[in-house]
Amino acid sequence: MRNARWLVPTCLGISLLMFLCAPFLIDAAPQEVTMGVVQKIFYFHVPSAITAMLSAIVCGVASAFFLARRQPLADHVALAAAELVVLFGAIVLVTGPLWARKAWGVWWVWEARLVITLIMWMLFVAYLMLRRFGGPGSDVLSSAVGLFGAVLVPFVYWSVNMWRTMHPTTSVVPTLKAPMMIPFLWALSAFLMLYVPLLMVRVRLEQGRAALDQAYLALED
Amino acid sequence: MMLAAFHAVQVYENLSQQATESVSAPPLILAAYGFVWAAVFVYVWLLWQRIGRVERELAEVNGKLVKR
Repeated sequence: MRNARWLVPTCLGISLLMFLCAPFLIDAAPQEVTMGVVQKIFYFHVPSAITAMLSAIVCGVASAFFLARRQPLADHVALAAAELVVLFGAIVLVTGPLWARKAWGVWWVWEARLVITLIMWMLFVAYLMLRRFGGPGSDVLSSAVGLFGAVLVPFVYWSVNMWRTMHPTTSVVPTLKAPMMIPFLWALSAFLMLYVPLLMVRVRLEQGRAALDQAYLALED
Repeated sequence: MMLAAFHAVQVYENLSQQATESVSAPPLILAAYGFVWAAVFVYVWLLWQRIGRVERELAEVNGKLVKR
């Protein structure tokens, strides 16, 4: 726990610095030939998508662990990760249409990648609503929802390769040239550096709530 | 039939091209980056508010437990 005390502010500080520097690196990156300057949205859109998918996997693994062992910490991690899927997923679902408006001429297309991403995001919104309004036993039910959400991640990722869509395929990022890859990796690191402390703080909040419930029970006895 | 379909595709492509060209990119980029910052700041602020509320309530309840 002593390590965690300095880890959160350190990670948040580094992340903030990286986010402040990111626009300069992104501005210096070469313009994509067909899409032009609007392609710069890519440097925030894709890292937020990767972070959302990572968080969905964390939620799924923690949910499976909670269903198997019923350890409260696993449930706290699952809940924290689910909330962060909603946050980073919202960023993906807002920045994507802003990019699409210029690149495709429309805000939204009902194609595989976009629809599966929206369904995954709504599933995690359902997870949070279940926790908020589900009452006793909602932790077990929501763990099942979290597992389903995590199962959708491979479908989100490979949907662009499985179905012919307007969305670029997964081959774009690995084939980026260095002048574009460096700002991309920078932005991705900034998002991941932000994700870790947010997850830790959100878990701390849930631990605090559990302690509060225990304290109220002790007070009633 | 084929000609009609071809014509429809051409009309769609023209409209799509017009729609693409009529939009300026910088406001879209600013909106995207602005949303990222706003979403993260609002979330962090709400998170700290919630933690503060829980910690205050916990201290209050623990205080009552100690008095008993």
